Amino acid sequence: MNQQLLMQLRGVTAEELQFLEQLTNGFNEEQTKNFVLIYGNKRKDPQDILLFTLLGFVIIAGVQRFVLGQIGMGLLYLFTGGLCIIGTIVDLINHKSLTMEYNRKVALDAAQMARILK
Amino acid sequence: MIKAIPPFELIFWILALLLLATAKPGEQHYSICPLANLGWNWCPGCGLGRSIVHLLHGNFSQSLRQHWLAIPALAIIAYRTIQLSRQFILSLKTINQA
Repeated sequence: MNQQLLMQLRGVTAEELQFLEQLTNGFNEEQTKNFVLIYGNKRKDPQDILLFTLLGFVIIAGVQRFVLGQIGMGLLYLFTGGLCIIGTIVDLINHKSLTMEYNRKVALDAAQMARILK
Repeated sequence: MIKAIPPFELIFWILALLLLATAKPGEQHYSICPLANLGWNWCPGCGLGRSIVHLLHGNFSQSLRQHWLAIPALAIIAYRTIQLSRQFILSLKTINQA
């Protein structure tokens, strides 16, 4: 039951799913539904981050970092053209891990909220 | 003790900082910056690399002359590196506990 609700999340990865199952262990159905609602709204889809990173090759670099809440890094990328494109390439290779880092943080928040709203 | 590979971005930053720290300040060589190689002169970040090299060698005035934002830029990179390192060490701990 838990798993079915979790799998609805757009672009969810296997690693993410595993983490979420551990996190929502012991949640009743109501809590899981709330969690999916809250987390679903806060999380980022890795593919969106990939697309934002690709912008760095054509128009403007660093958007992916701003979207993930890393303002300092975003500004650095913005002013240096994505660290002379090298940063953009690194983020391209790394986009899944970057998104996972953000989603992890957001998931912990959401789980806490879902737990309270029993 | 299980060995895990540190995340790609962490390796990238540590490598970058090492390369910058071991470069000779003021040395002139080919630029890896594709913007500079294409001839674009209006890049607002131009000189940050050279500036950070000066910083890592203690030449504050030369660093500021190359680019006045090098100190915050280095601070941001250092912060990110520490952030990633902490995450990595934490992940090692949880893997060992499991």
